[in-house]
Amino acid sequence: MKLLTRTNIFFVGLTLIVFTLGGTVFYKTFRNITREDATERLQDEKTKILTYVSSHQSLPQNTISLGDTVAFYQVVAPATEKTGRTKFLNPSENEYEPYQTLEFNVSLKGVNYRAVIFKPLIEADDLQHAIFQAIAIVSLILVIVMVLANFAISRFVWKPFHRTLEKIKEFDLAKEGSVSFSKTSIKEFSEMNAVLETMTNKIAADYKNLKQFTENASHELQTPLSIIQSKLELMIQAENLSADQMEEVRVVYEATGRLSKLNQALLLLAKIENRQFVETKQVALNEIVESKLNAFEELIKHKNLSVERNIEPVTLQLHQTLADILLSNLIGNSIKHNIEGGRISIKLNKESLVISNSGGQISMLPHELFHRFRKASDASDSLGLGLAIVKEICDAYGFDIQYMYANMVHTITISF
Amino acid sequence: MKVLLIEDEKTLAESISLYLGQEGYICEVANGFIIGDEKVQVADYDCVLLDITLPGGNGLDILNNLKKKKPGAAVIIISAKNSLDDKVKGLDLGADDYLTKPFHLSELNARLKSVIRRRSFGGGNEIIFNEIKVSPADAVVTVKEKSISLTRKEYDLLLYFLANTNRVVTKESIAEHLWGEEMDGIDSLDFIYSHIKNLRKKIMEKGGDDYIQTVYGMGYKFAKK
Repeated sequence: MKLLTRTNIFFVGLTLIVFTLGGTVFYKTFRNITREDATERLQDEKTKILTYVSSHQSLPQNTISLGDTVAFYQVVAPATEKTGRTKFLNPSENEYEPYQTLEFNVSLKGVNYRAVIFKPLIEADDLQHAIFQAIAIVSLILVIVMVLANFAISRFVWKPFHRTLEKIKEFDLAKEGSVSFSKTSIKEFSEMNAVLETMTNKIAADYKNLKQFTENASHELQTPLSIIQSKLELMIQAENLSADQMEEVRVVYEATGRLSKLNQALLLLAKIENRQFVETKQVALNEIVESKLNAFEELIKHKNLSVERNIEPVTLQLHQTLADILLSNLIGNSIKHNIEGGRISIKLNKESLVISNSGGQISMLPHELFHRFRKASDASDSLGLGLAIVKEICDAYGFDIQYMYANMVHTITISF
Repeated sequence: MKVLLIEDEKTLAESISLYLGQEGYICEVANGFIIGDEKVQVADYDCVLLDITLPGGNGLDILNNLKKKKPGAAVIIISAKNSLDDKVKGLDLGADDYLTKPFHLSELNARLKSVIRRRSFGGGNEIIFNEIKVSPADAVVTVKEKSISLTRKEYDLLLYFLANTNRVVTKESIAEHLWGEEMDGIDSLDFIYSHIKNLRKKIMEKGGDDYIQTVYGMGYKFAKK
């Protein structure tokens, strides 16, 4: 929900509550005032009647004024004065109307009379109706004005916020080193911008350091690995090693070889991430595909694979080494993860490169395939970095890469 | 044969010079840029093994200086930087070969022999091991004067063995020598085994001895029995 919508709902709700309460209070107050007024005027009339009776020595024959009704009836003993309310049917409108009443004693020539004045009041219905109408109109106007005002405020006041939001949405850590926001005179937003700027700069710097660290660490590891490997090779040449010792040397030697390959792969990944392969040139992908198929020929024959080629001449602006690694990894994979007597299909044209191979289902989710150290099986010899490298190369050149598995066929599509 | 090794990592330099010493080379070691640069200017070597990242300077500058003075000098770059640009630059400056660390000593040895062989003229070109004779110039192999026909891989394998006779050559180094990086993550043992089987068969068919010994789990050794 948008902030504006939420604010508006809040305002409308608040308006309704305030006006309902306000209306009730208004209604009660107004009603009380009319009643008090009626009571006062009834007292006036009482005085007038008593004055009339004492001066004329007779009961007034007609209602004095104001459309009020006065009735007299004879009583045995005087009772106390009493105010009250009652309702009478109005024949012309066929509904009950409220009256305020005042009963009091009149004594004339030794006879006790009871006088009752009926004063018509404003109907409650009418009063409520009028008040409701007035309040509804006022609140409607208020709500409309508020909503419009909110829109306008959001347009102008929130503008810097939206600009910052756009900037952050577009921010890509891998591409830009830092981000700067446009200036704003609103204190909260300029504070937010400052915080975001510090934060992104810090993140970018950390990210850069981390990448640099990976590369440096891998690079520094090369030398000790070289030393270990060379010492082991010298050891292997020794004539006086027992079979057990030789076996142990062999295990260490193999592990060192693996470590060294792993390190090289990580170094390569770091270099691609750090965009160190900058020098590009026109590379004929179709030629690389052919040369890789040649290089893998033995392996293809060994597994009895049939290769279907659909290769058009395609030249792209790439780094030679990366193009080489990309195709080597993809074609290598299509052979390694193939089945005996399986098929490989390579389609290359200006739009895309599609490499598919037969093979059993893998237990990974398609997107996980491109993560580092994800392997089809733990037992496999592979380092689990081949496709991560492929993905990284694709990212570096803005190629889209997709993996699909259907009907025992794995397909990797790279769209240029 | 005199070889100069310019390498700042002392332990590694020790291993290399020990291995090459066992192969009959006289191996001098220079541990830094200045001493290395000085040595190549002053003395003549059959080959210079040159590290690029040196304390005190870039190995490529040594190469440049050396080639200006002695254009015919043989140089193999050994670098921890697997960088195509460095490789191209080095080869452009006249280096004969480029090897990335970590490398197999047997590989370095094979490359070194190949470089020196290519540069020595007049008869010394042939590689002879008992009844086996290889003439690398035209890739002809004879056993007891009878020529045998080898596939490209079998020929490469034989040359690799002949460069590292009487030594255990690991299957990893053979795989890398024959296929480079392409076979990474593939169990290449089967392929090596089948090439060795064929090579052995072809040599023995012409009356040659079986020189290829299996060193269990480790690799092979090409040696007289």
